[in-house]
Amino acid sequence: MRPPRYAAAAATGLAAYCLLSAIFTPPSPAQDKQLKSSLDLFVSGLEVVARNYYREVPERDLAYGAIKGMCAALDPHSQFMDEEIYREMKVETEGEFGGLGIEITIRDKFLTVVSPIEDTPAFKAGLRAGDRIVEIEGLSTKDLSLVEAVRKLRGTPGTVARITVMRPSTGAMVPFAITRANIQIQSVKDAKLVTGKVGYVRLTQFQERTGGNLDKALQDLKKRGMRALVLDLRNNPGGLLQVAIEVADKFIGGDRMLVYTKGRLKAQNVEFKSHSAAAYPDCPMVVLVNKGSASGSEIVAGAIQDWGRGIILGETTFGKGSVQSVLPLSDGSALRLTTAKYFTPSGRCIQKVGVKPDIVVQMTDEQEIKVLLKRRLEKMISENQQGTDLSAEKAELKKLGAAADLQLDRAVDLLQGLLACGKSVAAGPAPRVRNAPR
Amino acid sequence: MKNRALRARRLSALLLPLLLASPAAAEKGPGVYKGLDILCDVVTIIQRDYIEKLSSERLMQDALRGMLNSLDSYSTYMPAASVRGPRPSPDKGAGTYGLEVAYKDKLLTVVAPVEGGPAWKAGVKSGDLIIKIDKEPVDDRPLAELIQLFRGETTRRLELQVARRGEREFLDFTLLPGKIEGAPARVEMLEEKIALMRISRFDTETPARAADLIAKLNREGGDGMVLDLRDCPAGEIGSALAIAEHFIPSGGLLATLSGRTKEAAREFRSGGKAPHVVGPVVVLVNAGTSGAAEVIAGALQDGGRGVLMGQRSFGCAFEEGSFTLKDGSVITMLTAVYRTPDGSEIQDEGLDPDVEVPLPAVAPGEAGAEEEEIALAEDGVERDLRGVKGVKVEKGVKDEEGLDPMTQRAVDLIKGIHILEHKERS
Repeated sequence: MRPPRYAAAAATGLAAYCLLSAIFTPPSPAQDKQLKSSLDLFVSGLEVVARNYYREVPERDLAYGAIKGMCAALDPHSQFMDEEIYREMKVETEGEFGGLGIEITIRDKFLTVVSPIEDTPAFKAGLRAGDRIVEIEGLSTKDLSLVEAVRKLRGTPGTVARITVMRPSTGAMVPFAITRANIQIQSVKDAKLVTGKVGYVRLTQFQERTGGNLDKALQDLKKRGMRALVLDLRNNPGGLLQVAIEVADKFIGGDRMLVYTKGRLKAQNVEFKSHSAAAYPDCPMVVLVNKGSASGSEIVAGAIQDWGRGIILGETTFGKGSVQSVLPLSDGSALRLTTAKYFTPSGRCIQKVGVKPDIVVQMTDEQEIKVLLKRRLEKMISENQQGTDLSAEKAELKKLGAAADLQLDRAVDLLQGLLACGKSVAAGPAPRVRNAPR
Repeated sequence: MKNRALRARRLSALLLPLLLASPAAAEKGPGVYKGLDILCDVVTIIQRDYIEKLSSERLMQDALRGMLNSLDSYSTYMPAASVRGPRPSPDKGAGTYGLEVAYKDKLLTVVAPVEGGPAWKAGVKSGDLIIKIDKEPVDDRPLAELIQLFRGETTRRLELQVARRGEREFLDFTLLPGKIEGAPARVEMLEEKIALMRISRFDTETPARAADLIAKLNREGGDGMVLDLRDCPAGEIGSALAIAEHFIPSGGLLATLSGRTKEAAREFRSGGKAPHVVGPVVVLVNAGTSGAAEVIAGALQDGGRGVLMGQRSFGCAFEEGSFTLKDGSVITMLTAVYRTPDGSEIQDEGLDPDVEVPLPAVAPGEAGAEEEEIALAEDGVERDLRGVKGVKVEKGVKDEEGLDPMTQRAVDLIKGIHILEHKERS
């Protein structure tokens, strides 16, 4: 599941279970008849083209064009991968790759940045969540499938990708030249005590080591006196389903439902439940989300919200709640198909709707940029190797002054208040849909 | 897995008799239509596993559309439900927008507005990318529908939002259909008997008009011509071929048409029509030169009758055919393409000018200001430039020099040729 970024799909295990579970049901004669007459029409169209189009087109190309047309009409995450693209996808999921460091998806028909991943070239260059990539290497991205776009953006570290981005908030077309790098991602970040009792941890995505690293960070914070937690899932595009579940499990526990999937086939209906004992069942917590929180982030936020285990603060999340399966075809190509949707424990569908925060705190693009910039500058200064002149950075940081992270500040205030009045915050007895805030 | 493979084979078996029955299949023997088994496989999987249940009918419509769209950006598939009957005779007062659009690099692009038409008057320009039509993103609309929208006579008011190179913001235009005003061809004697002939569109009356104008120039002793075909998007290729006969001697090849079958192939030769154009010819072309204009420009270039100057032309010269399938749906596609006498395909490639004149660099926010003023001076027709940002035009201001830089360069070239030919100038 890390659906906005296809490469991780095969690694999720979900693809595998869908494949194995696909049950063969013989079609009814009526279906067969309908299928035959539809195919009939298609073949007559194919013949018209083969005979009358001004030049000869290989039949395989015609068939592939047709398959692509069918898949393109499904949804942005379903697609046909020819042999070459499929092979590349498999290679990419196995090894490291050079890339820009963005999660992308197709939204409103535009190739859209879900979020730039921290510490990557794209992040440093200033790409932002919601940016529309309209050109790659001077060519329009219209009609480019997600897989093709990812393939164009990836490449050998050290090479340069030229893209043009349309920023919807300003309408400006901005060209970028970004040098690709090896993308290795540290997913647990900035674990710290914000005040004496309120801890902070940011998850940039859900990857294999996220669960273990989060444990380490939380144990450490606990030792240092943490009694409440801000879990920051802003701009977290998701990742591995199992890991998102593992994270939710740490806070919820008690054999409670965390998320379930539902498709048309029974085999695609799977429930994911927590273990009996949660590692951190009762520390008051606020989960920060924004429009860049997608998929796995939405699963965690949705479960915590439904069970009343914590308070969701920030902006409505991205709304990526579908499961894709990769289905290989006999000629070496493959189909990536949306086969199920995620639902929160109370039965809310995440797809397109997202998770609505309990407390809405909007931040403007400008405010967010300032916070990101400040964080980056502070990091550069704190990790400063001796001898490097960082006076320019220091001056810039000073100029930024108190670039307030409104969402974090409100979360900390809230937790301090909750600690002061000693409210119980363990998961509730039953999941419920909270009233959407006005 | 195994079961699926079996099922796919069964579907292919269903198709086989049908294929063998068709003449094309019989010609080619077994193994025709490679990839059909994969297509059947995909249909089966989607119908079984996809999150929503979809009818095979809908899937096959998407498949046909995908197949046609994969060919080029003109060919379309229209399902029976969207096929309209014959267009009702236009309402009184109906007109056109005078706007030629096409997909270029998968973006809906203005080839050029037709000079003197509503879009041209409103300030739409060649190369504008259409983002929204009537406030709806273009992406959401099928190509076939868009083509219908821009073609033919109508009374419908159209709102366009376009992106223009060098502009920081989108531009909005409201187009009311109307008449194309002004003559399709006109001439002007410049200096030293060198004439400027401007053809802005190739319609049925253009050849007769052009013949009159050429005769007039010959009476005035014209020697050398700048043929301005910039931003000339519309028209009938037959009209362009007829005019080419005044330039190319009898028997000279003008263009060829080639398709999938031998029957589709045609050759067009000049009858060497009088009056003949006298002297060197320089043809001005740009990215708004398309279709009929490209055919005549190609004939002059390959026939050694004219030097092409400017920028690469648009690349669009074809014949299309419509085919109705048995459920009433319609396939429209390219059935033949025009080639220049040397055999170069115009479609998608465009014509490479002999003398490339790069477009002036445009600073953001000042897009085309210079070009705009020149256009005014050149044609003397007042354009409605309201709503065009960053363009300041004072009414009636004539360009001091009189000629735009490209025309000036063309005149220089003709003068140079004259000198080299040791012509005596009076």
